[in-house]
Amino acid sequence: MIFAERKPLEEIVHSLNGYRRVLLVGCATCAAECAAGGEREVETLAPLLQLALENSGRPIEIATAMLEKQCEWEFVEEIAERVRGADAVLSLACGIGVQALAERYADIPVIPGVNTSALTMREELGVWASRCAACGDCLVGETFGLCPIARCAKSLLNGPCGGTRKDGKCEVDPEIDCVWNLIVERAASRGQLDTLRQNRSPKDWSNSGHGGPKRVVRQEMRL
Amino acid sequence: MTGRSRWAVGVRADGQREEAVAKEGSGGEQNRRVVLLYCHRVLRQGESVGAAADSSFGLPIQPVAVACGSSVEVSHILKILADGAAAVEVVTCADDCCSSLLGSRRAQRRVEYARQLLGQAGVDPARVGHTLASDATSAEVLELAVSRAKAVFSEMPGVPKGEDQ
Repeated sequence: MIFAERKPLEEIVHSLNGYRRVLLVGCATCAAECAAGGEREVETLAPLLQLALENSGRPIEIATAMLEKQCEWEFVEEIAERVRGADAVLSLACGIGVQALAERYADIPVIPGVNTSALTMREELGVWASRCAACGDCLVGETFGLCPIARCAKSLLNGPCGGTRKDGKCEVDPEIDCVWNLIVERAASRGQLDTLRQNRSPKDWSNSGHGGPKRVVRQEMRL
Repeated sequence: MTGRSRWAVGVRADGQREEAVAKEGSGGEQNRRVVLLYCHRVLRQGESVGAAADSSFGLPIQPVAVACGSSVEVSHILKILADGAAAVEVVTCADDCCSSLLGSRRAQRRVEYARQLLGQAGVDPARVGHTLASDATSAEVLELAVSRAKAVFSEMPGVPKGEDQ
């Protein structure tokens, strides 16, 4: 899922300066899954903002709304009436959702309430970890289903680096498994350690963000 | 704190919506209200907090029984405060008495998180508290709300600390 984290409250409060009626909009998809912008977070942030703003002497009216997806036009359309009654929209969706609202409702400020930071999976309750870097040249087929680009602190194509801790954790973060250690273990369990001896050449990064903004057109899907 | 709150709650993608709910606090008494969220299992058999709350404790206490401490969400606590209550006291079962096993721990963590958020908002975190209890009388449970009020109010009965902020 796309992973996002709520911005610091102080930053959000500051960004609402000058507005009197704000529509706080959550997203029931990725932002909800990562507990940054789902219904629960919307219902938590609304009264919290109210308390913070009243405390700073500038109370505002905060209305809330939930969209199934903020990144699909048909869902974005559902709040059209409610947006008209607001001075600003505070979005708890990922950067895609924020931009979708800003594009559809171009005459009103749309403020991001979260920082979008990674592509993750939930490892366990309350724990998320990177799994994909959207690099555009997937190689997990060569690395036994584990992505060294997203999960190695150095994004090494040929590892381990030598800094792996004795317990198999990363030298950069003792809470994170060394992905190359996991790759080696998985290769060994399949009896394919030799495949890791082959040197992997530099990746083709032209299909990632380094290649400029991405736009994909599939003619077979167009009318 | 102005004692006035107003927000709209929820619009689902399926079109169901709850329109703006305006709630006007009345200041004064409203600002001294303490909401007591308690697991109904903390009470001794036959005890009723609702009835006891009517008796004089010197400040308005609003007892709310919940099925389990784990059903208390951070958003509930913050909404209660934003709605004008002075304080919230969450009372859940002692760890070895929790029928849901983890209900009290969940409640404790949520209260801690709510207090953390209040601190970020510049609001006194002491306005929210959590206490473990078991086989308690209604008076004992209500006394916890009074203790919470004492942590918030500068004097009792008197002006809430919050009015000076």
